[in-house]
Amino acid sequence: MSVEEIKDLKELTDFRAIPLLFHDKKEKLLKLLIDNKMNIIGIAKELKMNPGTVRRHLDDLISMDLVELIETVKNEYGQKEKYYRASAKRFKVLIDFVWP
Amino acid sequence: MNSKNTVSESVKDIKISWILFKNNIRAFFATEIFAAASAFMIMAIFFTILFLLDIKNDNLLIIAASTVFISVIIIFNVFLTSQFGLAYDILSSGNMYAEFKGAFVYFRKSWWRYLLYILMFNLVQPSTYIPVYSQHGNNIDISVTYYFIGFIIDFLGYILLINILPGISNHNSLKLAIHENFKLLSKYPKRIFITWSIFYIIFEIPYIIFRTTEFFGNKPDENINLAFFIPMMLIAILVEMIKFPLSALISTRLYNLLEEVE
Repeated sequence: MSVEEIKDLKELTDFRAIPLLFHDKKEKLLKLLIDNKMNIIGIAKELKMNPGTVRRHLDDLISMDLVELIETVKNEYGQKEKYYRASAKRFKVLIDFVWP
Repeated sequence: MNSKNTVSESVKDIKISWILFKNNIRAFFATEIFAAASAFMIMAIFFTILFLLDIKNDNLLIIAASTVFISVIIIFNVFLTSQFGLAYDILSSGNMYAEFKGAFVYFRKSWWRYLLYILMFNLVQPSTYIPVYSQHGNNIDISVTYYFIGFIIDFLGYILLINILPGISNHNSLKLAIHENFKLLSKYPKRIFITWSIFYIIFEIPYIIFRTTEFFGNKPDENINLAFFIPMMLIAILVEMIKFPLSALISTRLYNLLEEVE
């Protein structure tokens, strides 16, 4: 999938997405996935992180619809590889917040 | 698929599993070291308690020690079997890696299935040649043929049941895993037989030759040469530490062939 195929802008209504966008590691991960589709090992190598940590960051981003699983392929080792991609190039968080 | 292709596919099974094992060696070794250290600690604590209690009744002592010893060995083996879950994480989950804590996840989820599997495995694969060894002690009249037949039964039992374990990780169902195992055996008998034969040649034959030589060549009251024995023991432990996770990766890779059938 090329960059052109992902949405230019995605509107998010869940305020819990905000801290994720300001989280240093998650931000780096998301930027990486805006440019490329990648699997966990690829991300881990690129960001010099543990694959388990990447998995947990990805789970958080997926839970807020910032990242999505786009395909599962089999590599030359017969291993299944899940590829992830950002759901858009840019994100806008819409919050209608009144307190108390 | 002709025989030549099957052999090359089987060699590939072993080679690729070895690469994946090396890539995930920390998770596998951590699981094994944790299991061995825990078993050792439980035994040490138990025997310290026995020593402190100073129990005079020999029968009670033997029963208590045997119960604890057998229980620890069973738990140790069940925990080690969760390495098949790690192999599933590496090959089939799409994540392509395994973590030490994954072993606990699979242990919690499937411990009783692994336990039933181990019981079933020991019924089918009774390691015939080992009881023969222990029953006869140093009696060199023991039949080599009987020893050899025992080895064949052991091997056939192994290939008959080993591919059940990846199915447990995949479905959390022993019944379905058994069903899939026999489906796999019927679809790929040659591939399975050759792959596990190569595996046995690499990991079992040297051990059996060593044991046989030691057994048949050993004279009563002969002093053990520690300079030879200790390095051999360390090599044997290392081989065991490699053998089990490698078998988990190989059987998961073979199990994934089912997807090509469906």
